Amino acid sequence: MSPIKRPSHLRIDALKELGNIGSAHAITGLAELLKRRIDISITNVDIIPLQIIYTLFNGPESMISVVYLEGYSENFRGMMFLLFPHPEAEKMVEMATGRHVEGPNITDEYALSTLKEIGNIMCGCYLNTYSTFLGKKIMHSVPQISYDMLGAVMDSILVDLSLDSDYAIVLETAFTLSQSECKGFLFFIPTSDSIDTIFEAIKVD
Amino acid sequence: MQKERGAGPVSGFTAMIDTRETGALIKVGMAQFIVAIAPARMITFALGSCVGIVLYDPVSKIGGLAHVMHPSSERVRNNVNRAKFVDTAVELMLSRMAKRGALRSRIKAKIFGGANMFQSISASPGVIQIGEENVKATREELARRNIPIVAESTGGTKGRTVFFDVTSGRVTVKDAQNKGEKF
Repeated sequence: MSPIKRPSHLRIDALKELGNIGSAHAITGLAELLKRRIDISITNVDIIPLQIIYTLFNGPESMISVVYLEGYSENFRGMMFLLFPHPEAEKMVEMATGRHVEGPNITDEYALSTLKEIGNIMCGCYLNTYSTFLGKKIMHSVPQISYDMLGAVMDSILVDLSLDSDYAIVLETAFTLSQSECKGFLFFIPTSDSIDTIFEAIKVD
Repeated sequence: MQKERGAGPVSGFTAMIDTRETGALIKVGMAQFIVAIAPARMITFALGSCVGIVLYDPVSKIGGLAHVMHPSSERVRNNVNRAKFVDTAVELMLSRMAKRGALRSRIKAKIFGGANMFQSISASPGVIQIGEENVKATREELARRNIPIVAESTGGTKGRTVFFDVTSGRVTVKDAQNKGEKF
């Protein structure tokens, strides 16, 4: 096991603040789309062994919907995903489109496309913040969607990351739509090289 | 972020557990493997693109289950955890089993997992799918060591949970939709 070097408190705080700004933009994007008030948590920054990510929520077998995309730029790469514990994704689609969604497995193309677009808007806004701070254009991949067991989805997302390290720096923000109690999570996991790029750009030692 | 530690050590990537007494259910985490003797039962949760490799000697009733993530330990920056890679995990597991008294010529394999969780990737040609690569590497590694694959459930787009009963050599695979298929 090669633990990545734990950043100083100042650096963790800097990451937290970046996460807060990023997620605030992302949530504003969603709030404008849905014309609703959305509450968000403070971004949680943590260095966790990859195995622990599998035990979030109700363990590796809990059902989740994930919209996933990857942001990349020069010396920068991060996995970004929007995660809904079951059955929050259906609620989200119903709210966005006003159409009823047949659960538990979303197969309706229209609903899937809606979720992808929500992920696209939110992750795009989030990454834009990083783009501003880094002074670099950040491109991102097209959103992909998966509805399955948490562990199985995370496997596929973290497989690249796990080649270099058994730990990851995870930025996590929770959000709740008021009145409807629809809950979701926004995750950003930069690669360890990208963390250095971020600190270099914002000049935090 | 709600954190619950799963059973088993996070960093202890290899383990030999004697469960002759208990017959307890052993959890095999990501990038881990376990070798144990009957009546042990093992489970590994939610294989996505990862592959679950079951090795089993029906006579000495010694079995192993590995949850591997990557096809090869070569040309990798960090290959300290040898249970993470197909080639090294199979090698380690076989030597652990031999130490316990399993006979190489009797060992059979069953392989599971290697799914493609994001379907849109499969639509684009030329993109390397890690799940497929893992399954291919597992087949090659086992063939190289003359270990027959007697059952498998690989590929597809669904995650799998693998339950292995060392006593009977029977494997039960569950995915999000079905209640359990026997192998």
